[in-house]
Amino acid sequence: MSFMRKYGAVLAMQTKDAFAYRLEGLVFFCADLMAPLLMMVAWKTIFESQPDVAGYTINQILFYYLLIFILRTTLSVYPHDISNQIRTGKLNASLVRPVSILINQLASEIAWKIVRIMFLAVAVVLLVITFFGGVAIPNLQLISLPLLISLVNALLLNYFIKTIIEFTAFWTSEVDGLRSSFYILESFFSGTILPLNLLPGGIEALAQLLPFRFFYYFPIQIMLGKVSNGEIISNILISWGWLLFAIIVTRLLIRRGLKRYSAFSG
Amino acid sequence: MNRYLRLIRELGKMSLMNSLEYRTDLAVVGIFKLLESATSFIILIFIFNQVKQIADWDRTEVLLVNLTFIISTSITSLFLMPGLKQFARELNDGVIDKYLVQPINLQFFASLAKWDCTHIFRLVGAGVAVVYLILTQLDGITLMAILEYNLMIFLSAIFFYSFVFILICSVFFLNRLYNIDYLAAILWDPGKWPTSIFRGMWGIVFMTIVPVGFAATVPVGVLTGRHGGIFVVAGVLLAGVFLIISNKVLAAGIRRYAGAGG
Repeated sequence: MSFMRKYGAVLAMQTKDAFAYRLEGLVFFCADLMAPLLMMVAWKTIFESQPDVAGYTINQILFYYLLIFILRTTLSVYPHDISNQIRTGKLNASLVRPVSILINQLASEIAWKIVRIMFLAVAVVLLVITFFGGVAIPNLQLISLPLLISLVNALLLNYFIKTIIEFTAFWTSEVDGLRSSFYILESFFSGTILPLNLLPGGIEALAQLLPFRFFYYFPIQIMLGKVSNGEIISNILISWGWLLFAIIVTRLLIRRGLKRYSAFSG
Repeated sequence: MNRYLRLIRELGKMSLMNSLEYRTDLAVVGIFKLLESATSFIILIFIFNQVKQIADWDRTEVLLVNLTFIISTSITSLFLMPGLKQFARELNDGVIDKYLVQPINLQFFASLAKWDCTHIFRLVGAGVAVVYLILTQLDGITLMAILEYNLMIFLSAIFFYSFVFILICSVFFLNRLYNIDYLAAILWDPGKWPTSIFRGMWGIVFMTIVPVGFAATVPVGVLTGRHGGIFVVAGVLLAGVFLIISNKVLAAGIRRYAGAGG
C-alpha cells in the first residue's frame, strides 16, 4: 500500500509537470506524427497508379502506418534525463530520495504519455477522415491477451533498452552519439519506416535477430492477424528473454556506475 | 567585412577543436547520420522496384530530391542550427543579454556561434551521390544548370535558416517554447519528397503555409529542366525577403525584450 501511495504521488507530480510543458509535448507529438504522415501521403500517391504493391493493398499499408503512429506515441520513451542527471551531478538529489531512479523515470514517461494521448485522439480522428474516406477498414484484433502482453512488453523493453544507453553516462561524458545511433537503428529495424517484411531479404533477417521489432512491429502483426498462435507464443518468449537481459544489464550498469560516480552538491 | 570573416574562421576553429576533443563521438555520430540518410535510400529503392514513377517523378529525380534535401539541411545543421538551438534555449530562459553586449551583429553571432561537425559526413556523402547521379543518370545537363542548382541549394539553406529564425523569434511575442527549433525542423521535413505528391489539403499546408518546395523540389527541377530560370529569380527574391523578415522580427523582438540576467 505504501508502495502504491508513494509511486502514485510520484506519478501525480510528474503528470502535473508534463501538463505544465504541454506545448513542448505537442511539438514532440508532431515529430512522432510527421514520419508516418509523410509515408501515408507518399503511399497514397503511389497507389493511384496501381492496386497493390508487394502484396499490400492501400488500406493495409495506410492502416499499418496509422498503427505505427499510435504505438509510437503511446509506447516510445525518451529517458534522456537520466544521463543528464549523471553528467550534471543532479543525480545526487535522486539518490537520496526514497524513490527508485528507474521507477521515477518510468513515472515521468507515463505522465508524458498521458499528455500525448490527449493529442493522439484528435490526430487519429483527423487522419482517419483525411486518409480513410472510402477505404475499407481491415479486420483488427484489438482485444486479446497476447496483444496486451506484447504491448506491455513493448513499453518495458523500450524503456529498459533506452535506459542502458543513458546509464553509460557513468563512463562517457557524452552519450548523444550512442543515443542518436540507437534511434536510427530503432526507426529502421522496428518497422517504423517500412513494414519489415517489405525489406530486402538480408536486412529483414537481421531485423528478426534484433529486439527492435518487439517495439511496434510485432504488436501490429498481432492486431492485423498476420501471425499464427505458435509464432505469437515463441515471439512473446523471445521478447521476455530480451526484457530480462535488458533489466539485468540496466541493474548491473547502475551498480557498477554508482561505485565510480562522484559529484559535488546537486 | 574582414572582421566577420575572421570571426567565422575563429568560430569554426573553436567548434572543430571542441568536436575533436570528442572525436570518437564525432566519428560514430557522423557515420550513423550518414547511415540514417542511406536508410531513406533503401526505402526509395524498394518503392521504385515496385513502381516506375511517383506523381510523375522518376527514380533518379526522386533520389536527387532526397539527396538535395540532405545537402541543404546538412549545411544548416552544420553551421547554423547548433547556434540557433542555444539561442532559442537562452531566449526562452530570458538570458540573451550576452548576445546584446557583443560589438557585432546579434543575428550573425546567435546563428554562427556553434557548429556541429558531425554533419560533415552526411554532407559529403550526399554530395558524392549527387555527382554520381548527375554523371551516370542524367543526360544533357549544362554547366549553367549545375550552377543554378548550387545557387538554389544555397538559397534553400537560407530559406530554412530564416524560417527557423522567425519561429524562434516568435518566442519574444508568444509563449515560451523550449523545443521551437525542433518544430521548425519537423515542418521542413516534407521537403524531402517532391511537392507534387501532396494533394488537396496537404498541398495547401506544405506548399503555401510552409514553402517546402524550395527545400529540394525546385533546386532539382532547375537542374533537370522541369523548372525554368524564373524559379531561380523567385528563389533569390523570396530567400532575400525571408532573410529580411527574420532580421526585422528579431529587431522588433529585442525592443520588447526584458532579460533576466545572464
